[in-house]
Amino acid sequence: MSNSLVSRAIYRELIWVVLSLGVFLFFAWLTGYWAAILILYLALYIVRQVWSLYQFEAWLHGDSDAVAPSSGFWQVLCFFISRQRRTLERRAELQNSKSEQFHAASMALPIAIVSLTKNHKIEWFNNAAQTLLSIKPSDTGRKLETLVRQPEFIQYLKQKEFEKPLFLEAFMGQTRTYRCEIFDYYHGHRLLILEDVHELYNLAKIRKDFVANASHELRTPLTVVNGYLEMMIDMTDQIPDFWEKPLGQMHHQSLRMQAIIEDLLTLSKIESDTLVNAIKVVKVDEILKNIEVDIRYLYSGDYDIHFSIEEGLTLKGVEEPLKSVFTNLISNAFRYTPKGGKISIRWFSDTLGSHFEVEDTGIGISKEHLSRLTERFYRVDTARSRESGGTGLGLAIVKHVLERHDSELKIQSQIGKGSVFRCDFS
Amino acid sequence: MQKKEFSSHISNQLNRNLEELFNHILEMGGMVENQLDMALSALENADAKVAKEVIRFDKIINQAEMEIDRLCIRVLARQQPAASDLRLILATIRIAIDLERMGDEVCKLAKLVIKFHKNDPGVCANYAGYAELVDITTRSREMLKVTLNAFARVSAEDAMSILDQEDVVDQVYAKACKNVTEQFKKNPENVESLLEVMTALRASERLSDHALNIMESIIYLVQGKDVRNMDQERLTKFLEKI
Repeated sequence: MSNSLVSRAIYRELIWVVLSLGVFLFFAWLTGYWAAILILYLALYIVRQVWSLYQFEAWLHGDSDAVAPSSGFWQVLCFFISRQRRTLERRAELQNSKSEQFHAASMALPIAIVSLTKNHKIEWFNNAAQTLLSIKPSDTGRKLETLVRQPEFIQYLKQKEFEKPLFLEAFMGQTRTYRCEIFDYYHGHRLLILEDVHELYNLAKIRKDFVANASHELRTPLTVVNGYLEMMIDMTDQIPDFWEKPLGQMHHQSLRMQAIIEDLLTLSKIESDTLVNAIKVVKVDEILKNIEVDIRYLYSGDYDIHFSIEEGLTLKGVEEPLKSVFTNLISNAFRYTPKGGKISIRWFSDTLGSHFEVEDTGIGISKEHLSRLTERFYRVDTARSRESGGTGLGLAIVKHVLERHDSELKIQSQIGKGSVFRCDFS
Repeated sequence: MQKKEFSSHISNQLNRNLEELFNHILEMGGMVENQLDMALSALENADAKVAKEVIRFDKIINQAEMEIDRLCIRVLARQQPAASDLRLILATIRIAIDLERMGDEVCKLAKLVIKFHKNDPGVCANYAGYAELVDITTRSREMLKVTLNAFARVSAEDAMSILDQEDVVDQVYAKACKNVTEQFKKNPENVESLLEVMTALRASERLSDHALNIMESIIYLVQGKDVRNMDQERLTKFLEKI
């Protein structure tokens, strides 16, 4: 199409040239001033082109009464340009509608979003932010901390790194819990996100309280049941033989229940903040030596036990929970390692910090279970773990305690070969 | 006459210093707001623990005031600002003083809670004037919020919206005083507690007065006109003009 357009333009220009030249040549033939007429013609041709150029420029700038030049090549040029323009316009329109849609979406979000510059000046925000922070569209360009003046919030805004979200228990005169988070985005700009998490927060609190209260209430009746069961077992001569086995089973199960309740109480104690207050130096080497004595007494015939404890290596933390971390990990190793296996426990330090490690040659854990292992009551093999007497809460306790000590449980395991449980303390 | 944004000076240093001053005063305002919130929740729940927190918080506010004074002196000594910038500094000093006084008044409220908690926990809500006390404090809190927002937006119109609130506070205060005096006559054995309530009522009423002072400072900053000594008529006339 463009080819035919170009050829048509050439064709029309040629016709124009031939016709006008014919007229001029005729005049020249009539008058005989060949040179003068030819020069005149050349001048006319140049004027025509310059005029077209002038028209073209006016048209290109979009003057309202400007008309596209109609002569020869110029017309074709105009046609190409206007076609290009239309595609560009269409694309811009598309972009525009897309960005408008994006804008509308961010406006409709129920969480408050505020975009800030590096100096915390407000750039734009959505409707939720408008109501939550009570800012107005005219506040664009003002500093956010002049309008949202809560001290904790200002402090959070001033810091350089925003790793943890900030939870505000009361905000802008409302006693609800808000979750506030700031992200860096788009060349040093910052995105503030504020969300009302009051319901969630309350639910979590109710759950924690419920578990703590329920376990506490269950403990007393269970102690009574347990006590009487023990008494009955002791009075073997007065009880028919038939009841001996059921009583043993009942006693066993009630002890298990007691263990679970104790663990639940420990967990809820760790979850509440009471533990953080008592941080002091914990002599881990001594704790582990005491555990070693017990372990050797219990298992030395059945297992190949290796303890390697670095003398004098201590840790800052809370003693009781840490003790339960060590006992939990060690007793797990014995529980899941068949008799005759090798278990080594190490407590050592290097340039990265102190490490506690339990290695066994037990049954191992397959990969899909590893991520869920620290969930409460999560069982890899339900039947086996009930039998072995675990409560299902041990690793959950370990995880929570380690979190409180800024540490993490790392597990490496291979089915049939054994597992390594490691805690790195910095 | 109008106060402009902080980028109108050729001297970058002056721009920065003035903006820093502006941010500091609002940060201090935020502290007082926070303190007032805590005091309110202490009043409503008769929580002596929160009340003690309120009194401890007052020290931080006093330090903030000193810091603002230091900044003001620095700008005055180094840059010798004029016109709206000079007014900003004057207004800042005045607002800082008002805020600091507000912090002290809030402490008085907290002391009431602590004293009542010591004597007989949980009964302070039964005393005459207690409901009014909470009412006045809540209104003062709202007034402080509005004035500080007006300061952040450098808007005299916003600041003036608290004038009606001040009238309401005065009415509630008068009513509360009447109630308490009646109780004085009826239950002379409760004189000590009632005196405490009276002191707290006075403190909470002062809170709203300080909020009003801040409003006047803002009008001075924005309009360049001192409205402190105007009587009601002239004030309304002036306000209608702008």
